[in-house]
Amino acid sequence: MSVLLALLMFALVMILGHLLKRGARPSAIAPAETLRHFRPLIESKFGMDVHRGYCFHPCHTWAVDEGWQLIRVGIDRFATNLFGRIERIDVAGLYRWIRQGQKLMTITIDGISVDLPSPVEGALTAVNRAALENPELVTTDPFYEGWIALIKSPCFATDEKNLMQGAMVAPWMRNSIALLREMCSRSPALAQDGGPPLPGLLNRVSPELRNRLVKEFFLTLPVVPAQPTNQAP
Amino acid sequence: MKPTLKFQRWNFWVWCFAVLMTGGIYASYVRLVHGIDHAFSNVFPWGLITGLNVLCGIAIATGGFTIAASIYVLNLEGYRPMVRASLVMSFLGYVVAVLGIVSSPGRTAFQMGTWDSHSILYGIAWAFILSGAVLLLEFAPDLWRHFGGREPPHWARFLNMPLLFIAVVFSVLYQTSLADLLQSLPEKVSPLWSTPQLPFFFFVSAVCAGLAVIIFASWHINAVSGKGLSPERVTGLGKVLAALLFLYLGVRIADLVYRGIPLLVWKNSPENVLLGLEMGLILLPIVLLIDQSKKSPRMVYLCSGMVLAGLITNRLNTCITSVEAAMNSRYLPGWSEFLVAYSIVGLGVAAFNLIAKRLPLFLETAGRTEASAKE
Repeated sequence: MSVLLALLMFALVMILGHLLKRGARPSAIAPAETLRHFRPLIESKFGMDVHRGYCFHPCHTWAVDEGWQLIRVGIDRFATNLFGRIERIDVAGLYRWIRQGQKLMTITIDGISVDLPSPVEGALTAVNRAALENPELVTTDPFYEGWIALIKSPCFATDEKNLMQGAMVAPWMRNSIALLREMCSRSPALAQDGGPPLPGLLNRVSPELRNRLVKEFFLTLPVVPAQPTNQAP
Repeated sequence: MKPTLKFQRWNFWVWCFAVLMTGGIYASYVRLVHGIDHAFSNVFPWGLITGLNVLCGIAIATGGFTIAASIYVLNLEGYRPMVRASLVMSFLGYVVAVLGIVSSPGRTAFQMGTWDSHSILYGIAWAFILSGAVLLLEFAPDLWRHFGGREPPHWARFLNMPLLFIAVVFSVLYQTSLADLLQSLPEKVSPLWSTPQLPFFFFVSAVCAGLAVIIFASWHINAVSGKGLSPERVTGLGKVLAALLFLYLGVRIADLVYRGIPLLVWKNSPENVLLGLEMGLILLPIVLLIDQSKKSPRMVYLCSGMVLAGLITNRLNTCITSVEAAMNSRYLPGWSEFLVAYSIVGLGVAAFNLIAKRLPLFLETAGRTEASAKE
């Protein structure tokens, strides 16, 4: 009798838990394919294309709330423009807990690696395999097809306060471009005609300027593989 | 804006916990002032509290320590995220067991404080102290950073492993001693559960229960915050669980056959039905976990729930049903024992929930992931 009573209590708790969870908003990790991921609405502000609902980290990674505490993240067009042709993207391990500002991915361009931070804190639940296998997708469509990862973030409301959003985005983008122009104008090898920056600028500048650009816009330093030294016989 | 009282935002489970704890505290007061239930007697010295709190709590604690030690010894880096959860589970298992012992009749609480090395409760006290020390060392980096802001001293890490192994030794020896205690009067327990192999069965079932609790807890933590184990880890644990359950059931049936018990099994009696229920709760997860096509994280979670139910059934059968069968008597817990037993269980579950919300139990912290993020 005691055994049956104990089992009954256990079964009751399990069933109640299941029923209560069914009525609530589903919070289990949902596969990326079942999430709605609509093409972003683009608004023009101060001459800049601003994607509605997107929040931006100062290191040019973006985040958008997909619901169910899932945040889709990627790289913005300023960064992809700077990188140009991306050779490879390495993302942190699945289900790893990543803090806001901690390294989420490593972009490799022409042998040079640049670490980019996560715009939100949470557990990495999915990555965009298509983009990792074909990094050109990130360059051509960074805000939709070129998303990088899905992060389950229970504290997005807090993280969001540290990101550029809404009316702040357009001025911030303009300032970034203006700062880029100013930094490049000091380089004697570049003659500016006032248009948008050429794609793949990081590969076209000197190593010193490249380091300064990466440090300024991505708050890190690029990792260049050591050159083999020719030893004297 | 009209201020709302905090308890108005409590959800269903918080209300259940509050009601349960209120009932448990009142029942404890009644037992202390007016004496224990009349359900206890010379025939039934143990009851629901001993079976549910003490035996199940110690089983889960032993399982947790064994899993943590196995991960360290076998260097299973892929399962390293489970160590913290195992240690927390072990500590809380001992907390539940100690509270159960304190709530039971007799001067057992005082015996735990003595240095009588012949007492099994002496082992419980030491295992409890060691589990607390191991847990403190495991979470020391997080606590140190929270309060001091710097890394803890390096020498603290070297204490972790020796303490863990001593705790495992105590847990295993103590678990087997408990099994021997239950067989100290063989005429009072049914041969369906009383066997010289009981310590082995207790140990293996404890490890299975430990794995089941980790899978169970990880599922619920994932559902709330996404900080649980990955599906690959869960299905991996499901394979290990299936293998251990198969070993347990095989040896159990072999033991029954060897002792000539199967003839008794076919008699229509309550204890045989309960034995069948216990075996069924072990057999069904084996069947489900072996089938590759059905091995999803949800299925592994459901099987872990069945294993936990099987553990509860086994322990209650061993200390209550077997005595009922041998003494041809029936035991029904009193209302105060019922409330105290379930309030202690509720306290353990609530404590685990609280720790899981505050500390990363299954995921590596930021500092530790730097090296492995480059793989």
